[in-house]
Amino acid sequence: MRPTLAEQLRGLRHILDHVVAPDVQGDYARDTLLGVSRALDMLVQRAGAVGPFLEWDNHETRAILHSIASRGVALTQSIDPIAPIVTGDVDALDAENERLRGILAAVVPTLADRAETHDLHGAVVAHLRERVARYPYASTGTLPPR
Amino acid sequence: MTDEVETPVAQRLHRFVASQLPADCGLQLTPVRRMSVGLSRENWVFDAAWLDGSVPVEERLILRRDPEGSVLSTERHVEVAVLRALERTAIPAPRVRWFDELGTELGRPSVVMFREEGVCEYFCLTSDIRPLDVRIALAHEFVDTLAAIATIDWRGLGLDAVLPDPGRHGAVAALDHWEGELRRVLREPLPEMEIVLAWLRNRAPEAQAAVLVHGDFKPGNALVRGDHLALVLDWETAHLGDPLEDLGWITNPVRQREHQIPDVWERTQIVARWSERTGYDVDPAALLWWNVLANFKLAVIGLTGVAEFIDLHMDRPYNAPLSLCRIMYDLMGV
Repeated sequence: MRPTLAEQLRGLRHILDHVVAPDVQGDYARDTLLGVSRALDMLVQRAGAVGPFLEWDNHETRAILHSIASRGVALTQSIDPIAPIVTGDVDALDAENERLRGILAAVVPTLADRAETHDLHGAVVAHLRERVARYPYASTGTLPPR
Repeated sequence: MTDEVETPVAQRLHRFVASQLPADCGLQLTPVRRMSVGLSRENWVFDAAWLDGSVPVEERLILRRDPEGSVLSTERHVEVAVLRALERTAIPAPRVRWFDELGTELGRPSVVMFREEGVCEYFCLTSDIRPLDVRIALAHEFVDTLAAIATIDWRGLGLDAVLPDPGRHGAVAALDHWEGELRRVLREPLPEMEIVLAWLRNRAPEAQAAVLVHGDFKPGNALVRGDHLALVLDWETAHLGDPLEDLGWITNPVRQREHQIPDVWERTQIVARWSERTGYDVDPAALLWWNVLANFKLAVIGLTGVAEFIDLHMDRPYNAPLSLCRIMYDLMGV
């Protein structure tokens, strides 16, 4: 499909930068527009990575939850998907990601500071560190120049 | 007027200022201009001129108005009470000119303050615009001012009438507050934050005392005039709390580019001078706890921006500040 999502985002940014920005007056409006432009640029570069990221995170989170459950720690919900997820359905992947991370968020405080679950806590932290490193979106705000 | 969006504010402001002055005083305001700085309040600068009898008066002013969406949820009447109390001290803080507490006149709760001379320089300590010895002296002024805030007689100023006193439980009070904010703004489960929260909850230190805490002390919230600190700005998160809270904020490794000068003004020197000036001991484990809390607070502020952006109340794009979690894990040693 043309224009692709990335092409559309890039085109919108081009319009803002070259048509709208030159006529914008006032520091606040100009800086706000610059922030929008930077965010669009980030989305151009990263939007395509969201689906693969969610597939990876769902797989890894599910594996960790299975490890936790196998040690007799109670979870708030079933780990298995409620309904099959069609490959490439980003909305469904996102909803499943939120569901799995909800289970993880509920259980992880119970793993902290207990010798018998120290390794599980470490595994969760290691995964979340990796998830942060792979997270597709980025903040685009900036501090003033030094 | 610079654009149609600003017109209603200018009109409201003129009516409001006029209502504070004698009738027929010939009030004139310069065009109101919104500054691009500030993530938590709208900042509009203007000058006002009028006649006091036959004496001409000119004042440089700034309107700070609650925005539709903000990264911070704070109370204007508390901020104004703190600022008015500080006027009776040597702490260089903004002076309140007029206050529209409910936003009856200005649309949303607003404070008009005197606009003081000075420049906001985020990196005045690290930028090589000034020689090293001048920057070190300026760094001393910053920490000495922070120490003065921590040793202020807040009871004598009557601040306990508007600020709750957590006693020796400033850490728990701060954690309760920021957890409450997290729960309020959370739009998705974040196990990353739950890990940090459990760590903080299990290690909250007891305070040596309750002191006045600025809450966001940094060069970016100050005015520098010449080579000296002229004014400490942004008191909206001021509260009573643990003496180490502000110290933990300025020694947060994430903010070292703002607060430190490599090799000569680092964590060790900052802590030593602050401790000597305040008389408070600094337990390294407690300070580390406050460093983690500082990042937790930054993350919650970022998540507030996310929630406000999702709800279409924020005109800056926000994404989840997850990278702060890795920094917190490093500090926590997990």
